[in-house]
Amino acid sequence: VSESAQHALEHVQPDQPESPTTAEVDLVKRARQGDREAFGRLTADRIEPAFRTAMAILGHEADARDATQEVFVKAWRELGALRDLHRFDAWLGSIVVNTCRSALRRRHQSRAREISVEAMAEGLGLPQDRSGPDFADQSAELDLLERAFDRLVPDDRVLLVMHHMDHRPVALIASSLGIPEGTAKSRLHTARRRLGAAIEVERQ
Amino acid sequence: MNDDGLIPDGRIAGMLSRRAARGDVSGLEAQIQGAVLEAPQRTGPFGWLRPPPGRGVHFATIGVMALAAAVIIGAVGIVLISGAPSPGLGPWSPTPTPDPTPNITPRASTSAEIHLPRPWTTLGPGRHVAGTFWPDLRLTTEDTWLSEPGSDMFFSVVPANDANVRAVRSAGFPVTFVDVFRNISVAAADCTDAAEPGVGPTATDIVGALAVRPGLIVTEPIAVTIGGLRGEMVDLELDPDSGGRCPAVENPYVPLIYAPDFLTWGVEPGEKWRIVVIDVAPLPPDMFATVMIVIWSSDEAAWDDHLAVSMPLLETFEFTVTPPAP
Repeated sequence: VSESAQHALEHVQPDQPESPTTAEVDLVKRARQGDREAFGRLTADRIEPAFRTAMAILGHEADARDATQEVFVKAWRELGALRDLHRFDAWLGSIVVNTCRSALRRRHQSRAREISVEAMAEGLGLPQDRSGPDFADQSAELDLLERAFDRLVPDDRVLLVMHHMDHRPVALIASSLGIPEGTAKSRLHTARRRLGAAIEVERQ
Repeated sequence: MNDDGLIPDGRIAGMLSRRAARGDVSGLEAQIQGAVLEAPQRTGPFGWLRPPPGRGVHFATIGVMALAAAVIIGAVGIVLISGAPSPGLGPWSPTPTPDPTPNITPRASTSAEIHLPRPWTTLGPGRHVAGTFWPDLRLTTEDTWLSEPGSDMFFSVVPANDANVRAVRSAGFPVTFVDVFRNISVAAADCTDAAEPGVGPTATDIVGALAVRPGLIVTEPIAVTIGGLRGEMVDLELDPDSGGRCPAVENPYVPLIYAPDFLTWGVEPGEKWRIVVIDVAPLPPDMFATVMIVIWSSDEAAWDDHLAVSMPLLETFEFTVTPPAP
């Protein structure tokens, strides 16, 4: 393999979160040994970001609060499974998205039937031309976009939040969801297409 | 919309930021602290070793077995934990902290001192240690591979070949790789985010369940020994006539493997998988752990070449099992 080819491969790498401080690693160590006070200090500044991510994915305050609580209880319970203390944030991030995903799936499973947005659009014979008129009112546009977002299946929502709100690179998204990078990238693209189809449905 | 029919990035980000900003976080911290106070913490290494279904963990037995294991480990002269340098190790080998005290806990217990490999670290020809993976894994590469970020339960290598270079340039990701996982379950066939109920914890149980999963073309499981550990191996791919689907996935899809909060992965059209599952041993009675190796390609045309470099790599695997301390 040529040097340039190897260079190309090596540059496909996820951004790494900022390295934790020694004090933070020490808190992780102490929390792993059952120190609840250390766990409280470690997580105090991480609760609101987790809640905001949950809000973006779930869209309902009560659900987001429940999910956030579940995230941190789970993190406390399973902290012994974290072997690399420096990766606490990445590990916690995976718990956040997977907990929200499970919460959404539970909500979806309570429905009689889950209908794919694309199938719905196709079934309704919606026009394929998505150019449409520009929106004059930005707030109305965001409302429409949000209603469309609420039509998406759990995995699509999680992918869009991780990529567009949390700005995680595809490699980290793939790692968080436990799927290959290629699959994550194609599903991200699909999620955006589904969002577009959902907007067409909302416009009717 | 953009010319490509997609919503612009900025609009999606704006909508999500507005949505995320709603909701009141006040009182949540106290609520969480209260919940944590009532929640027991899974202790140390037992959280990630799996007892067989319906059977509890007997701590007294584990203590006796751990002591026995210490004797065994001492007898075979494992120098890993002592911090003695290992000649011939690759550039991303961790440097264990010297510790004259005998220690039978998994090496991951010293993970704070281990320098993890940087993502996509190049593995040139030579012998390497797989980061913090448990059980300890050493491997020898003849060709150039790249390693992805690893953890105690995941480690991945990608062949640095022309096919992957092309794929990286065109799509940003490789078409072939080898993943190594610990304690992975068979995913629920009904697409729920859960393990398939009723599947036992051993390599035979897991491979047996995969071999009969509907919607797949699977070879007969064969017995293998990798790095001194025994297990079974199958090749599988999606059956094009099966029509297997999951609600959240656009393409035909059959769920395959699962780990809570870590992994949900299934087979899609065109993919080729070789799965090797091996039992980690020796472990205390009533405890099971497995290692799953996934040789994967999204390109059928690249499959034979990928196997030709991956299988020899697996033959170099050396596992060192350090049972958990009580």
